[in-house]
Amino acid sequence: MIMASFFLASCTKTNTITEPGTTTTVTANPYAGSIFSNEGMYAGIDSLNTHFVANVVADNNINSIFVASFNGSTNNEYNFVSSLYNFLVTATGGPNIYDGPGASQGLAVSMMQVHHGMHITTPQFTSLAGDLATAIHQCKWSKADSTGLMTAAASLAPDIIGQ
Amino acid sequence: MALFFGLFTWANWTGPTPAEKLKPKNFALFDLSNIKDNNTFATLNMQLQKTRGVLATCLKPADKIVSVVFYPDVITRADIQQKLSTWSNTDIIQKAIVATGPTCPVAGMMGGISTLKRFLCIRN
Repeated sequence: MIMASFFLASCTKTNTITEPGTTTTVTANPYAGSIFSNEGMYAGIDSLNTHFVANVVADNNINSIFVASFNGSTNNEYNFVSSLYNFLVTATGGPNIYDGPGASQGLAVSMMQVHHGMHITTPQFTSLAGDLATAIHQCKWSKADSTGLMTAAASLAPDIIGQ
Repeated sequence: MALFFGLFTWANWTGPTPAEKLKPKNFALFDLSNIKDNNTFATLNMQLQKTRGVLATCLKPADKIVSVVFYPDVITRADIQQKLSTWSNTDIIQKAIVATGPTCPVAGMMGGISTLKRFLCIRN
């Protein structure tokens, strides 16, 4: 049964671009033209995410919101970094790998569900957006891609603020 | 036994996600309030960024804190704390964050599921 499972699972793998930890040859890029593709795909988003996390952790305006991830639970740290990474891959036009609550109904619905009851304020949202903008600057993204991602992030504001 | 095989099959069916294929990263926040000389902050930050295993830092001189994202298999929190203390000739401690309102549920919510999947998945 296990062998059959692996066989079926291997048949369902259809990615054609290089993922972290693999040596899959690039044969096509279905994400050509997206921010995800322009800025180095998985590796580029990983770099952005790393800087973004550093900025959020040092942001006294919002870091207490993520307290469950911040006080020594390496597992929660891993989940926090992974969730942000998946979010950024999806939000930049890459594969839809964000798997938070309500993700199957789109990022906007997911953001609304995740932030329900948190009463996020406009200054807190602005602070997080500032951390993202700083990370984009640190990673030397093009102006067009920077604007593209910040616009996409701003479009989620109504689904996050005041929920 | 059937439950184990069921979980094992589930964990390996879809394989690891791109995030699960990444090398794990941890982060820490350090309190620099024992440092009195403001010129030391920039030097510390530069030394941190050159340290093997350190991926990113964010220094906030006004708040006297620095955050560090690092590979835990290359360098530990204690190593970083020790280096900061040595470089600054003062005691540097990790800064704990205190919740002041509702907190993000994602890390805790996904914790059990992702840990179980990582443990059982052998396709990485």
